Amino acid sequence: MIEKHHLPKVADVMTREVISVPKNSTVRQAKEIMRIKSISGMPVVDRDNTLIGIISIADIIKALEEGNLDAPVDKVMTRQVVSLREHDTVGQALKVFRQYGYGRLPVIDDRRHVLGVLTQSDIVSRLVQILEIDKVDESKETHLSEDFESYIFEYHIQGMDFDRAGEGASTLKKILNDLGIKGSVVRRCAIAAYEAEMNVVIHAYEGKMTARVTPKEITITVDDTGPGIKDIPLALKPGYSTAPDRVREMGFGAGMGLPNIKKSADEFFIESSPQGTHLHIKIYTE
Amino acid sequence: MKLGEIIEKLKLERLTSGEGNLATEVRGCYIGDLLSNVMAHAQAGNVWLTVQIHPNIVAVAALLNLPAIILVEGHQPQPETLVKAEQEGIVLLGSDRTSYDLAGQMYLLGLGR
Repeated sequence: MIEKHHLPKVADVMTREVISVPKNSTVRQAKEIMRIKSISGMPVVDRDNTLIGIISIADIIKALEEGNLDAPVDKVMTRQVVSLREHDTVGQALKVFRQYGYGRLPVIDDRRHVLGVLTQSDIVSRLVQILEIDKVDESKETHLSEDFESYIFEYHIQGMDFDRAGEGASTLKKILNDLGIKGSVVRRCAIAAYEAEMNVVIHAYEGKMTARVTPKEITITVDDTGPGIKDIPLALKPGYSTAPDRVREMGFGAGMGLPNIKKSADEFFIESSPQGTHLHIKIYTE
Repeated sequence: MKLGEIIEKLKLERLTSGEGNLATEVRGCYIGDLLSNVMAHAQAGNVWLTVQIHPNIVAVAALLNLPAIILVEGHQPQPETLVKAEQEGIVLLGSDRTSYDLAGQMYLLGLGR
């Protein structure tokens, strides 16, 4: 069980039984271990389990081509290792996966000892469990968390990804409920975050939503890379929309997005250029 | 009136298996196919009547604390919509009748009045 499940950490989701390979093993041995264990990469460690590299299938193929199968793994491994720390959030880990495109990342401590390994499917299966926990918790009375000064939530939004659209807003809503924010305020934040997220999904290439929560106010900023809004005053008029027909048939792009955000917010600021759009709103908790 | 009773009285088809929201008190309904209108106007405890069938309707319902969505006029959900609804604990319901008909029946039952 995770105690504070609104902020899952790498330590909560990683696999602790690490299959690693000592640096003086041969490439051939590493290949066999990976075949038997059906894994696509392993941390390479020296005698005291200190991380010195990663060996992947790509490294092995290269060694095979060069006739290096009997060389020690530390001759062919990748030395530039991207690693995670136990206290990194799952969100940060996902960002690293997205940025580098690796299938698995080692988790190390301050002295580079290998503590675990994380794959994206570890995260998915763990999050499913966490969602189950959430379901139970939602029926309970929420109570004000007294020990928070500020809380930051970051979420990456992918343009045209209608399957995941709305998940950023859903996650933010859960966090706000967990933090004990009043229901009517959560509703306004949920509406604004949902509409802002949908705007990025419908119109932009990608974007980032950041929410900063303090006991006094919630600040939501959404920055996207995308074609930008040509005429902001027009876009703020209810019913004005530039969404393509395909999107409108799904019920999106009704021209109510920005007006809904503005109505939900106590402070509203938007600027746009052909490089992207920056939205900044504040919602007061009192 | 509890959601479970409404399902029985209106002879709605249960598309999801979750029992989570069946005991939720329903406070009227909201009819709409434009998601932003639903976002702006549906109230917590409302049942939502729509012809939209894609997974995003579950996100909308979850964000607004709508206990159930009724797909009217025989519309069938996309498979991913069912999966999402089970995950989020939203009850997905189906009916061959129109929104007008269903909402009228709920009104006669005294909901939201």
